[in-house]
Amino acid sequence: MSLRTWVRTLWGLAAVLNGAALAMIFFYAPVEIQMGAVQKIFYYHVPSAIAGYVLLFLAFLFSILYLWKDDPSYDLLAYTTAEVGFVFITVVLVTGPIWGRSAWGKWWVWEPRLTSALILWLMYSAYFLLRLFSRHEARAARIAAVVAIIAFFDVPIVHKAIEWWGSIVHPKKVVLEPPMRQTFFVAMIAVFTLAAALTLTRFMVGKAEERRQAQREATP
Amino acid sequence: MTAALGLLQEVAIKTPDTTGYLRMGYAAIGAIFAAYLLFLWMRARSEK
Repeated sequence: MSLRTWVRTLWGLAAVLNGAALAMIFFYAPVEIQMGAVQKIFYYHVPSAIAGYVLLFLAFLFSILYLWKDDPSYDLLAYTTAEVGFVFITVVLVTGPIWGRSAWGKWWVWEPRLTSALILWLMYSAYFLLRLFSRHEARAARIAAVVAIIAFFDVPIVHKAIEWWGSIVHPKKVVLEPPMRQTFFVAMIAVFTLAAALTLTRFMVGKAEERRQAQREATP
Repeated sequence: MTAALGLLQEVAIKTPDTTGYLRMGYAAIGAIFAAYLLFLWMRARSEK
């Protein structure tokens, strides 16, 4: 199966699964007693965070491979996974305050998890700025790879922040009722399928850009 | 008129106020993914 067919199949699956997940969130999952309907943001907020972590981990791995092997394919893979991971972390940072405003009465609280997540987002912003504004592509790719490796070390800090420093707003453990658990499971698969579809699409666009660049350089 | 207002008030009281934030949250998620897809589409088009 070609990459294009894979991408199309994944987009079809992502559409069906996300439709099913949204239907379950709005019509099947019960309303949480304490927080009310807003708690349903959880079903995309948490899977987006996990998908973001996985993609940033892949960016970390591909960056190491790029520095080690000096193969531009690894650089494209690192850039692709970092970019899509950044989109998912943005979803987390936008939906969190909306949920927080309703549940805690505040848009933002300077507590360990939120602060470390914001630092993570800012570090990857630096990664993209570096790539966008550098004139020396190969050198920028190497420096960006180092930034992606260093930035990834914030991911376990974000994940463990509550355990290490406590939190006034985030619970240490979440217990879900069976219908909530089933909805969360479907939402998780839907978000991961969407992440895979976006990553492969972004990779294809990157490959097309590389081909175009090579053609431009070959043309006298 | 009074009956209509009464009905509206009743609906407003029964509707949890957190629903607005829920809608805002999912609208934001949709907007972020739509913006990224548009960005990808524009990049893909410029390479054709």
